[in-house]
Amino acid sequence: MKINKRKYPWIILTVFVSAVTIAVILGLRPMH
Amino acid sequence: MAKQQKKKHLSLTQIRHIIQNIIVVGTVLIGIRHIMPGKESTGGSFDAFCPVGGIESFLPYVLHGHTLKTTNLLNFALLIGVLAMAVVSGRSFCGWMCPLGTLQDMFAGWARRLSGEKKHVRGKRSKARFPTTLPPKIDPWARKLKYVILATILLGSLSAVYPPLHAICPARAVFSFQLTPLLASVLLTFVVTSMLVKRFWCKYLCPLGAALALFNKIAPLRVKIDQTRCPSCGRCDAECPMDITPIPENMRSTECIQCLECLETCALPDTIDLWLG
Repeated sequence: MKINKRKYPWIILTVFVSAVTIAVILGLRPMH
Repeated sequence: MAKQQKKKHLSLTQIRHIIQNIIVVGTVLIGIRHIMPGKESTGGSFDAFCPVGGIESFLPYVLHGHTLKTTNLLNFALLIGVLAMAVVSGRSFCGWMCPLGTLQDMFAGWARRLSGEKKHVRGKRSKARFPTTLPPKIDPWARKLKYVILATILLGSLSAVYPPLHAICPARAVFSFQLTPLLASVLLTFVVTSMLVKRFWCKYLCPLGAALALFNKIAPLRVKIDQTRCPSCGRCDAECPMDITPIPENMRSTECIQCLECLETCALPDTIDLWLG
């Protein structure tokens, strides 16, 4: 499926931010 | 006659540079925050903000149940983010987000100007003396060095207290503002090599790039070329920061950082496109 190239930055940023957010929510964050 | 006004969009290259520069500024701010008093409240050391720390601490955490000193679980969260990107779009982190990549592109631009290029024409091979490339006989072998470094780091981390790259990490050298004599020499080497060869660190040394490279083979979101339309003009080759040549035959190269400069440079519509699947 052809993708509009202008969507590319939003796709990769969304994937990165979502994955990091989920990881942090699941407990992967510094403990104090 | 009403004057038609076309809405002007930012180019993909401009958007990429904006994202890259925001991340560089953010990394500088993290570095500054860590040389200020009260750093205990910043979520750990400067190293904790690098996904490479997640690679360095992976085996110690899995096998011994603890991370290496100066790293913590935040490294894993960032590494998961980078790996998620890699699963979708290969080494796009290197091309779009890594602050070291951004600086290397900047230093390469400085080198071009200092060695005679007045104005860069997109798609035209620069006549500037630098940045240059390693000899073709050496380059493919040198690119494998990063895999050796990755393996060494993974093995070395098993018996390490600090992350194996801690003392010589270029990200710490550039952004931590806590230079030791060794880090100062790393910084100097990083700047000089980036000016001599485009993306020297990414091509030959980066362990994170090595870990992400294999995802280029399976990532569904990727650039495809219509070989029947491609006139092999070499415009895309001229712009590739990773010097992948010829690009049309290497669209699945493990070296591709998905910067999409080839797509932006191609003068023929519908020849290089972005595909999912």
